[in-house]
Amino acid sequence: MDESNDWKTRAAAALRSLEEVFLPLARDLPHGVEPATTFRADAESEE
Amino acid sequence: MTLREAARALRERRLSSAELTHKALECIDRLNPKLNAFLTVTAGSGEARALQADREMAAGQYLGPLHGIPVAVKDLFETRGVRTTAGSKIYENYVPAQDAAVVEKLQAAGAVLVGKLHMHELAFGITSNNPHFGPVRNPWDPQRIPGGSSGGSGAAVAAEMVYAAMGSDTGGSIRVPASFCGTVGLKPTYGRVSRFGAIPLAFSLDHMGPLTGDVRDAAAVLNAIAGYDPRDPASSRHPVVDYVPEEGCSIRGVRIGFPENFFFERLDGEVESAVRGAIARAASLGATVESVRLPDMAAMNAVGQIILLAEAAATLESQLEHRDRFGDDVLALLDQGRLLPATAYLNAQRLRRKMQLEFRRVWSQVDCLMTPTTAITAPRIGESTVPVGGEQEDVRRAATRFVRAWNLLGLPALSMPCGLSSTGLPIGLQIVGPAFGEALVLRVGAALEDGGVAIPPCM
Repeated sequence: MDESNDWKTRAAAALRSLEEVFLPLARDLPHGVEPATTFRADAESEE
Repeated sequence: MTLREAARALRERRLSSAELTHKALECIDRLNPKLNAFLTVTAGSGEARALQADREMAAGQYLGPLHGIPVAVKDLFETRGVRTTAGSKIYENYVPAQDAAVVEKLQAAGAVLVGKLHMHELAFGITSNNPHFGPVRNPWDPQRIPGGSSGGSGAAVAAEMVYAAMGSDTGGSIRVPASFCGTVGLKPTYGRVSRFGAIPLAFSLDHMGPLTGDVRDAAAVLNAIAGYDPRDPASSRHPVVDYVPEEGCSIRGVRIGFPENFFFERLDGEVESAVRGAIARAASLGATVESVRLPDMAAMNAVGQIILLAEAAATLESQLEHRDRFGDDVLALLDQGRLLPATAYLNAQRLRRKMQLEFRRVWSQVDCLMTPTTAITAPRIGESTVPVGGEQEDVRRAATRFVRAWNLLGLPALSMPCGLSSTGLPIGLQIVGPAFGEALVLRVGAALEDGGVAIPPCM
């Protein structure tokens, strides 16, 4: 294996269980939900 | 002696700040070789500030309850002219030209800064088992971790080296050490305390807050550090109030949410029993305890983890060409973050917005939530898994799965000690409130303390 890619293999393996939970959630996101890019703890009262 | 008792003694001239500071420095000298809580001790400037505080108080210039009180800050808060390492090799020789906002505010309140506290490398982990500067040790049992990443802060307060310490919390890094070290730890609402001058880990999850010996002391520190700061783009203009609960405060009629799901499903039996005991005590003090079904907390943890990995990798990517400068655990997490696609990060932020809106339903049912802070008590240094509910679980996961969601939602969360295990280790109770609900969370915590929910001092 190319040594420069070792970290990618290890990281991909480590991410697998997280992705198993996360990817179905992301797939089920409805249209119209936009990212919390300017995150506020209480967006309504701040805006 | 609490911070407030020390403040009273200073104000009544029964003690001087010079004496208090001398005692703190003596305690650090005696205990730091064993606990490794401090990376830098600023004895000279601390003693000078203490003498100045004594002169100010003698002249009638009283700055408030922090005036003349020895405190310390986690070594990721920038301090002008004093090395700030963030527990890392990459900042090993970094001497900032400015103070972090929190440091400025503590100094303006008259506090005496006696040093910089050890931590998990780059605040990216919960053991404080630091490969560059050695492990921080838990004062309750030096063979055990203090938690992290603000491990030095927890250890220094538990060992009574200082009356208050500042920490940061990106996924539990104030509350986990508070739980493992038997101190109080407050993660305020996102935007309540300025992040300016704190070396970042994940910008939308990073929160700054105090660790102290009791709840009212945490409130006194919050009074000094809360408020709008135009230098922090996330800083809030939400009004600041007096956060210190009155003596004998009541929680009669407060609706406390007892989570039906997630928080009591898999945890150490002694932790469960102590936390249930604290909730029962709240009920006996007049609070109404109501069962509440929470949104999918495991999903929130996954979303929070994706955001943390991606933001931390973005923050530190420029340093990653020097792979030998990172500890193995931190490097592994940064590599995971680099590998995440942009779509994962954006979808995590979309899910975050959705979860934030969904969670508002909870606050129509209850005023605050009570949960365990951590599923376990402090593990031994070097342990990577621990038994929880009959299964072996990764230490990081067992320590963070009850705390991470409150960073994702930006909500205030307090950890306070609520008992000791049969092996003499502290157990943490977590109280969570709605955004900018610090005053209520602190009042509930103080009422519990007044009602006897507390542990004996460590030292």
